[in-house]
Amino acid sequence: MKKYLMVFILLLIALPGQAQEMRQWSPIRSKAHATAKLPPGAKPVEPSQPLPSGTLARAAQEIAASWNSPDFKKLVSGNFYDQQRLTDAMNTETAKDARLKVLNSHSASMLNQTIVPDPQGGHLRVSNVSVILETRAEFNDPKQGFISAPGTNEMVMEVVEKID
Amino acid sequence: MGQQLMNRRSAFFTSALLMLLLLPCFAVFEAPAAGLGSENVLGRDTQPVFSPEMKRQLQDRQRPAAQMTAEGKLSPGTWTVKILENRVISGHNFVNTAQPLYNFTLNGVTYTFDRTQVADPALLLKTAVTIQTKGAGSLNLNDPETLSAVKQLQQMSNGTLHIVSETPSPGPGPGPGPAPGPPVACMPAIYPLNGNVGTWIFLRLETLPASCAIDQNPAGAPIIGIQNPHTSCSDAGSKVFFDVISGEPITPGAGFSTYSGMCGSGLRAVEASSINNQFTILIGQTRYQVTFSAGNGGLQPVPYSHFGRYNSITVYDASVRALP
Repeated sequence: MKKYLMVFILLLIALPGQAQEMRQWSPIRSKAHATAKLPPGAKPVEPSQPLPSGTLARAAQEIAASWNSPDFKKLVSGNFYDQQRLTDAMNTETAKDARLKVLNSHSASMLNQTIVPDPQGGHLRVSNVSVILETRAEFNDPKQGFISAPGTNEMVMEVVEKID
Repeated sequence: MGQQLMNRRSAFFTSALLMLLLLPCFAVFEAPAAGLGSENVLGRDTQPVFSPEMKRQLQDRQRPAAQMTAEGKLSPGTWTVKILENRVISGHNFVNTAQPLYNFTLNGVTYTFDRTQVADPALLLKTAVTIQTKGAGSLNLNDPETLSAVKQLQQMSNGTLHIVSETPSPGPGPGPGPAPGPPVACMPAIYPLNGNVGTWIFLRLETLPASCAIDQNPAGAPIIGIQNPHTSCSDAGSKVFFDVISGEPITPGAGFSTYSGMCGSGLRAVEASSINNQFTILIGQTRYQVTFSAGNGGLQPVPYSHFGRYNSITVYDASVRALP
């Protein structure tokens, strides 16, 4: 009888503990969601055309190479939310010798693809692609010594191709 | 009884072993249905086999690797990639915008504010610069106009503005004062003028609101000078004497007193404490407010005749602004 009582008490303790645990809410990017936000004048491409071979891999390497340098700003879209703040944060918060390595590119999925008129003539194909990158930032902290900071990020990249 | 138990055990282990062996087979057959659930997914036994000719055709359809070019100079076949959004899933976020506070230092005063709460951070910065330029070079919170302007800044920052520290400009401490250095652009110059006694500060009024220094040859603009010419006078106390070395005549305003004593009679003097001394003068039709700090300059060096006194005063951190 005591055993059952103990199990019952343990359950009472354990259940509320599980209930308190909440997963972080994150929007799941989907094609339908992305297509709903198309800019005016954009024509969706269905079915989406594949990107040139190695585009995202090279872009990821380009991002890693220019990270924590003035060139990084060129790789951030003007539509990136609070782009200036990102640049400021990188200038002030990131260690000067910090370097980024792309360890792995997990998966990529095309969110949407549109054809928009190029202001300079012709047309552009704009593809928004979600990529999950596994990265590691490395730098030397004056107090803590060598720091290796791994991270996994979902990044939406905007690939603009000149098609004609 | 024991034999039955052994048989049951061996039957149980045998069936468990069989299950383990069969598990990968179940997994193979279940994977497409459970994981993907799409009719387009092909099973292992239905993978397409491409002929060499078809493979070549497929390869020909692949576009050549494009070159990344500068923005705005795309030609057909070229592309650019830019980061549009980022969400950290776990660990380090290398596109981290979490910098709630922005700070900048101007003339020894550090301002901190949350730029995410500020509608126009550039305007706030500009206003802060204007206040300091028009003010005393450093933030003089004793000045009502400066104080009012700071309150305006705080409103602009939605209450997030903090003045972290106010470090006065390096002035003379106890003992001999620092050797006067060369004039710095847009800062009041402090240097001895050959042929004159004491330390002079030249404030070029025509450059207001930016109070800039002039060269050592004060020519051209109306210039006022603050000096302590009577370094040899032992009873001058903390008074700083004032003179105009060129330009128009001036009318002393608030902050002035007339010195009469063993150092002379009828001299225009300003009471000087350590920091933020102020006086006003009238030149032509314009009223100017002069702010300066003063320190005990200690024993004056040769060639000044000081009679061995330690009462000389060094003036520093001076600025001038036109009053409305």
